[in-house]
Amino acid sequence: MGYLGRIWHGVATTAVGMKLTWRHFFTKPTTIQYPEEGAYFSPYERGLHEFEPDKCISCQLCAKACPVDCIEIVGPKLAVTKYEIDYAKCLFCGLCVDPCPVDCIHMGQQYDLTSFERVEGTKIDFVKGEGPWRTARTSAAPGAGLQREV
Amino acid sequence: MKDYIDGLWSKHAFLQDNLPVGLGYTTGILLACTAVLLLVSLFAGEIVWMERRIAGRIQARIGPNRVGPQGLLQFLADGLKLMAKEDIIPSGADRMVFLIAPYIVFAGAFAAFAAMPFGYGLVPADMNFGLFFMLSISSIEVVGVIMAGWASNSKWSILGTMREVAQMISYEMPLAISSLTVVVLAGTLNLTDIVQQQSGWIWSWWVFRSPATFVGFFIFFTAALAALKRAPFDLPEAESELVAGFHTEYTGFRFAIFFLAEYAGMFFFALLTSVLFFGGWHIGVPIDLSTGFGRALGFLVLFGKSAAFLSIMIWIRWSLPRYRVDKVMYLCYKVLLPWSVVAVVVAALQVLITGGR
Amino acid sequence: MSDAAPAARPAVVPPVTPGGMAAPGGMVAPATAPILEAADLERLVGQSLRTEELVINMGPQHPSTHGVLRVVIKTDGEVVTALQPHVGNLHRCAEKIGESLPYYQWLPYVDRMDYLAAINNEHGACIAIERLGGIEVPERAEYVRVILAEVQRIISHLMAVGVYGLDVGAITPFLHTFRERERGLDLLDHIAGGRLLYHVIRLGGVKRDLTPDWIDECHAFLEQIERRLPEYNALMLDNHIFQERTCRIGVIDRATAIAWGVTGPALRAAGVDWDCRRDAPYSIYDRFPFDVPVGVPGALPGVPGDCWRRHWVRVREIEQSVRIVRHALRELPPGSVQGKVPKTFKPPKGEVYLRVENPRGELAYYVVSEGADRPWRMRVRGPSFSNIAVITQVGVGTLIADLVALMGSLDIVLGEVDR
Repeated sequence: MGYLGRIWHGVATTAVGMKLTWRHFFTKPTTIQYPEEGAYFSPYERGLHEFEPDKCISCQLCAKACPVDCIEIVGPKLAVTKYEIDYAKCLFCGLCVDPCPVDCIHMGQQYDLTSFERVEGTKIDFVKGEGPWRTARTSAAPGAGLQREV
Repeated sequence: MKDYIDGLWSKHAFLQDNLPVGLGYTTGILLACTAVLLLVSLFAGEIVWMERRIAGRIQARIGPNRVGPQGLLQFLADGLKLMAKEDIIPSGADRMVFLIAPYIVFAGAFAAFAAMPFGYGLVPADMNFGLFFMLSISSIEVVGVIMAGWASNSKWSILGTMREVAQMISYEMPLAISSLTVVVLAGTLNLTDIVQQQSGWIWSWWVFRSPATFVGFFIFFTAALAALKRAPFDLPEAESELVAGFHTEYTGFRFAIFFLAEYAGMFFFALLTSVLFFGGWHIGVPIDLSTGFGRALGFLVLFGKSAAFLSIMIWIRWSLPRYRVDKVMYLCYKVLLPWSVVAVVVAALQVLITGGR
Repeated sequence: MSDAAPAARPAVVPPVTPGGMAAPGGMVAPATAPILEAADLERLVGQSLRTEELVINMGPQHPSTHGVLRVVIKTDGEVVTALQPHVGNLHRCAEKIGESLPYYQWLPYVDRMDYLAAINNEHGACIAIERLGGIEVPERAEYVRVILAEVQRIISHLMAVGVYGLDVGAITPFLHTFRERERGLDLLDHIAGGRLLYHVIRLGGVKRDLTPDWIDECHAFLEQIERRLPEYNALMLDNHIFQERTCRIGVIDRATAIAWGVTGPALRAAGVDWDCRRDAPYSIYDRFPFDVPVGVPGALPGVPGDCWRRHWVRVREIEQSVRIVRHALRELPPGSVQGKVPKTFKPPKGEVYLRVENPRGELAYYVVSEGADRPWRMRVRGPSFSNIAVITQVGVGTLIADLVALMGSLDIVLGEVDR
């Protein structure tokens, strides 16, 4: 391109780009006001676990399936007294959910593991049901389908 | 303003008898400077808000909208945050130079507003060489930038500073020469007179009156963007993020001063563009603006025009990638400078051909 | 002093050029004899303008999103004279861990290597292990795998394209590509349960089937991509300033690319027509017709092998992936998505080397089995490792600003470099 050609190319392509951003300025933004409006999460989201101690038969299949050995189960068969997951190690891979014969361990939709207090340790004992992370927000209701309009 | 003080002194015998008129001048100047400083700082804070909101909408997101109504007080939150940060001075830095540099940049950016007309008769100091004064005082920023880079005691920082300084001073040439197109046609450096010559209908604005000023406007605006180190010419600032840059070693409030000086500079050039090329406080219809109401209207009109130019600066920044430093220099010396000289020559020819002003 | 100075000065002194030789054809009338001899001048100037080579560390923390890469650069002013990348900051022993875990338990680790294109990683790992153990994958599962892999390729290239704009200074297209990327991530999130690390391609098939809802949303996603691609081009590929920043910069020519083992878009932009999906087909890629964009000299700006061309190849690949996904969705057969896998999976003694096309290049798995339920060796060839090595040759002689453009255009992910 010659000297004048380069000047023209610069001005023309700049104008095209600016026309595009002008159009974007007048379209509705796609972001949401975060804490008030919820983000989308899948019904199969692999978030914080949900455990039903009444159903657990203490078969240790989930503990054996875990790649990082973060599940600790204490208790005789059919009566679990401690079901602890160490979230410093947990990969959130979901391999513990599949082998359970009684369907008592699921992965829920809680993704938010932040808290306002200093957390002592990263283990949650699901039988006792304690821990600051349980108080954080949850997202879309389970069973929600894909609804997006952009 | 001198005339106003003189008028005050002649009208009120009490003042004439008891107080020397020099005191009146001094008080007037101090009040005017304080007013300009406050006004410009406040508006610079709002320019930050404008930039972030416009950038957000261009990028398909909402900008800051939580602090204050629609996020208008965001700059106060930013200022508070910067003031609360730890003040670090590098150990090998030249202490005195390091501390003074931000204030020199600030002074250069704000002192130039002394000759800026904010409306009919609303000039802190109506100088006959107003334009020349403004362009030269705003060059003091370059000294502050060099001081900041040198005092940071980092080899890479000084190299980055040299690139920025080269860019800033190179672009002052097409800036000054393209503003000369208006000066040649208007016959005066006094900004109030330049605006007064644009009273009347919209086609009396300088940008429409001559092809020289039309081209001169585009060159002036581009050179202003480069002198302000705004995108697409912000390579020294952004590239140097990886390594260093003149204001890397500055934290907290000192960084806020640099930041404020940059946005004040944006406001300065937006105002200057409206005053020189787009009719200043005139609204494009020949009505008398010297009444009190007219002055207020003129003030608002001028602010509206500069807000439009600020929006254009922001729009350009968020639409384009960055130039590399050697391309920036190519643009200045081989594109803008020759064409601005041609524009001045055409303006001079126009004056010659149309037989005086 | 050179020999050109005559013993007796003539009345007219010829002008002296550097080196002391008289300039041909030019004679000027001097006022006086020259004040400084040429040699004196060289000596004085040489002393005060002594230059040093500067050693700069582009540290592990980068403003751009390449990850923890440390590059030590020796510069002479602005020009780079030598550079050495130091990798290993993200090493997490994935391969060694693979030797101590059963095959199905290692699969979550595979996602985390190239975390921006996790499905392609899983795809490759599963096919390699299935070949080793002789596991049959049903038809429908193969189609679903291809659909997910190509959607992942689109998402990964959107990220590469957007982030490259960020490196070069165009901040806006980054957010525009991320808007589309969010939609794709929601799509994959719906089926897999995660946005970046999926663990959805398992041994023998896929974890969960596609629903009609998902297929409709996928079609909508593809249409949106097609509508937006010209917009990205308007802000980047066709933009004059972008072209000035990336054309003829960081040229990796054919010979260099092949010598250094560069693969993926960087190789194709250099002019080598090689794509593992077409030339070393795995899964059912041989059933899908698609074009492979190759950088050849022609009407496009720049030269083959420069940064602009790599960017162009990625944008074209997005279009081709859209084509593949549409084709696969049309021909999706009914059936189950999980094949038969024995309870304790012990593949027979043997080894397999499988190469797949990652969005970043040729990802390869070399799995050696000794008949146990865990592999004896699990080796992964990450394409970014070879791609980043090429900057030691190509980066020399560039300006530092161009080095950033070059590294961004190679699109490396440190998880893959370090594993």
